[in-house]
Amino acid sequence: MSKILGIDLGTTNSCMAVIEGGQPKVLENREGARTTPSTVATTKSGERLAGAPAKRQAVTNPQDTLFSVKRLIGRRFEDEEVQRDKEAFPFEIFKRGDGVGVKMAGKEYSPEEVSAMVLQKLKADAEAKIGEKITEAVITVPAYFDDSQRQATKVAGEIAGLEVKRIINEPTAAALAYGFDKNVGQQVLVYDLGGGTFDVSVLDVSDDTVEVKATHGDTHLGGDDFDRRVIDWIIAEFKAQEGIDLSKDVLALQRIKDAAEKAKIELSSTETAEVNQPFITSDENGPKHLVMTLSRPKLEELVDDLVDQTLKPVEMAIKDAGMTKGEIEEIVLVGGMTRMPLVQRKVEEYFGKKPNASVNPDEVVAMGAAVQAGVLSGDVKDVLLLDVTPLSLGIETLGGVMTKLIERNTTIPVSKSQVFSTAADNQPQVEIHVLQGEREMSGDNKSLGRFQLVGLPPAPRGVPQIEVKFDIDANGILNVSATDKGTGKSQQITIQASTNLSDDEVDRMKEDAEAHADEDKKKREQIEQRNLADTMIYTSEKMLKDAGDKISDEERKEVEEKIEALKAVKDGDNAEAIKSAADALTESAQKVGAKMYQAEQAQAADAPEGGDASESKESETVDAEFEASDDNNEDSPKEEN
Amino acid sequence: MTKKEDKTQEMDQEEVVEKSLEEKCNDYLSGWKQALADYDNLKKDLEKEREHFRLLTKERVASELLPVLDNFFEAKKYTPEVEIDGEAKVKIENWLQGIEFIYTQLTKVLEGIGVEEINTSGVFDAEIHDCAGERSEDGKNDGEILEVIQKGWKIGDRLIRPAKVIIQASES
Repeated sequence: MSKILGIDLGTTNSCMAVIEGGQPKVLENREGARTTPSTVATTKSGERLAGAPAKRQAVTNPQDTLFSVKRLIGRRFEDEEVQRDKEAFPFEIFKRGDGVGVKMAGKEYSPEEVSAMVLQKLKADAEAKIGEKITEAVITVPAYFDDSQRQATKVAGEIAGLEVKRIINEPTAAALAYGFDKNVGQQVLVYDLGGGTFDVSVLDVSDDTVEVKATHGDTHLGGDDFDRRVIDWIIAEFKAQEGIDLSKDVLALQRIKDAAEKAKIELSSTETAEVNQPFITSDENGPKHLVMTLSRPKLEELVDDLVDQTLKPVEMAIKDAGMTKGEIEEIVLVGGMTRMPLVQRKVEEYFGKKPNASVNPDEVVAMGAAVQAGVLSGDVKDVLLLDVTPLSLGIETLGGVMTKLIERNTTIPVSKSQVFSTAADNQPQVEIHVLQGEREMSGDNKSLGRFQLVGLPPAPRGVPQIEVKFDIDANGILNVSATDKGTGKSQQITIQASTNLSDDEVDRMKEDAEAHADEDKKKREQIEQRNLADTMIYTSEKMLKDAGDKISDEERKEVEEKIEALKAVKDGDNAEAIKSAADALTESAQKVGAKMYQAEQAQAADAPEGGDASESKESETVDAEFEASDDNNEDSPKEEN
Repeated sequence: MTKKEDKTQEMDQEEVVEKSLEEKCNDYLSGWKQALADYDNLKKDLEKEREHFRLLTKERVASELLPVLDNFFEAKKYTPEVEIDGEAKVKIENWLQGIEFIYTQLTKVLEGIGVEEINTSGVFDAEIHDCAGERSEDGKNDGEILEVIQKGWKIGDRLIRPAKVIIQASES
């Protein structure tokens, strides 16, 4: 079956998406952009343009370049909005029947026909992108659109050759993109701050409908106002610095406009942005450069009142819906301007809860339209649902650390293996302790079971290769096996309930991990440091034993002293002390090592294994095994790669 | 009911069970094949995505570097006429030449990743040019490009940035 296109037909820009593999995906247009200007034009040579090319020739062809027709569609000529636009727009708007007509290159069109030209471009570009014909669409409209505006939008789709399967509200689409339709009885507020308009809607999600309870907004407040503040600031600063007014210089103004927008966008992710436009102008003393730094606090100061202005419509919409702000359960951010940290912060402060902003705010409406399209075409239902492991799975390694083999959110069935080794010389067995959870230390995670692999032949630490394999089948049954690659001996355990944790349990474990992340990381580092110290002590002692009389007593003494020093601190909590003692030991040991090599360069060094019974006994208390086999650095066994 | 009848009925039932099992098998087999095909296609898509991503990265790098090139270009336009002679003049000229070389070097780097300058001779074309204004000059045709305010660039067929131009105003 052919795909249904989800279309966000915007006032200034449009965006389209389809469902692919059960997920909404934004389609790029022919020019490679994810949004398309809702602009059409007829050039002087009679050529019809739509999208970015139409916008690029607007300056030279203003009367025949049509934009923002969404403000006119389905309206009566007498409407206040139409009369205002009639004054402001460079193209001709006239009365046509009961409605409105526009003129382009001497020909008369209805707003529906103009919107259809934009839709036609989207349709053609989408077909080129996915390589199949598209005949059906879901189109979004603002929540405040009345029947006639909705009907006109539908007609526009039909003129473009699209059967409009449904017209849905933009805020509803945004809520769908976040999957809020699944939580029946939920109150959702959608905050949409775009390039030129601000809309806020309160939604009530019920059984199979999403009802718009109230909507408010400001048709002339958006990102452009924010840009203007930054531009004005740059011009004022430059005037103060250089005494030159750039507001009259068309070319300089163009550059400042671009730079202001770039700085504004940059400041959503950085603390300071540099406005760097050398050779912006010149006077009798030569060229002048515009170089200044805009900080995030400064930007926030410049636009603070604009953000505050959005809160009044929010308040009114909630009041109209007959609710209090405490009753709003979810807040969804839509529109590029909501990327600004100040906007997110103010909204969060107002509601006392974090707004949803994880879906790209420029694309969220189109994605929601695609979700609706997917439901209509059955795409969404038809997918065989695959389970994921809700939490990570792994084993306990030296020092009580959990080493993960399967990360959480991995789709099952899945199989992963990793090779571990022993922690002590002649260790006769290893214990495999299977764990589930996100914390760094095994004690903080859930124990799923344990078993032992016994009968390992005597060997120095780090030599045996024990392959641990985790295998989860489609039913979530976990099978863990350990195989000694040297002898082929194998042991295994089957755990039935690796995925059927309750949602609450999973959430609690995840939250726990997040809350303790820093402290856990520190603890883990400390243990890694200690393991490293152990290895250092082990190799140094072995080296001294091997060295015999090849080194002087003083040298031996120095290394021994450093070993003792490290032993004294290694079990303490001071990671710094462990590190410096280990570094000191490394340094002395390396000196001795180098000397040994020099002394016996010609001789083949035969290092006898130091296997005594007491050591193997001790090893039973050690929980085993680490060192990923693909990391062959014997000096620094690692617990994971 | 005779024994014979009983047997036939039993066989019928067996057949039914067998049939439904066969159907199930076929269902599973086709689901399995579908999954394998999906995976195979995913691998191919991933390769395409990767190629696309490489291109995007190039575009991204290019679009970050282009303003630097613009400013270099701008700086060259402002090269002062020095009214000095002798050693100082030579020194300054050599220094300027070095700067020119850096400009060339930057151009070469961009060429290396496939960036090409957009042609701005002739008539305005909205596919690759962005009209920043118009004016009238004698002896020029309608829509002819009079001045390039900012150079435009492309990689292959992909437009990185249209050239910003001023064009001849039309007679009408």
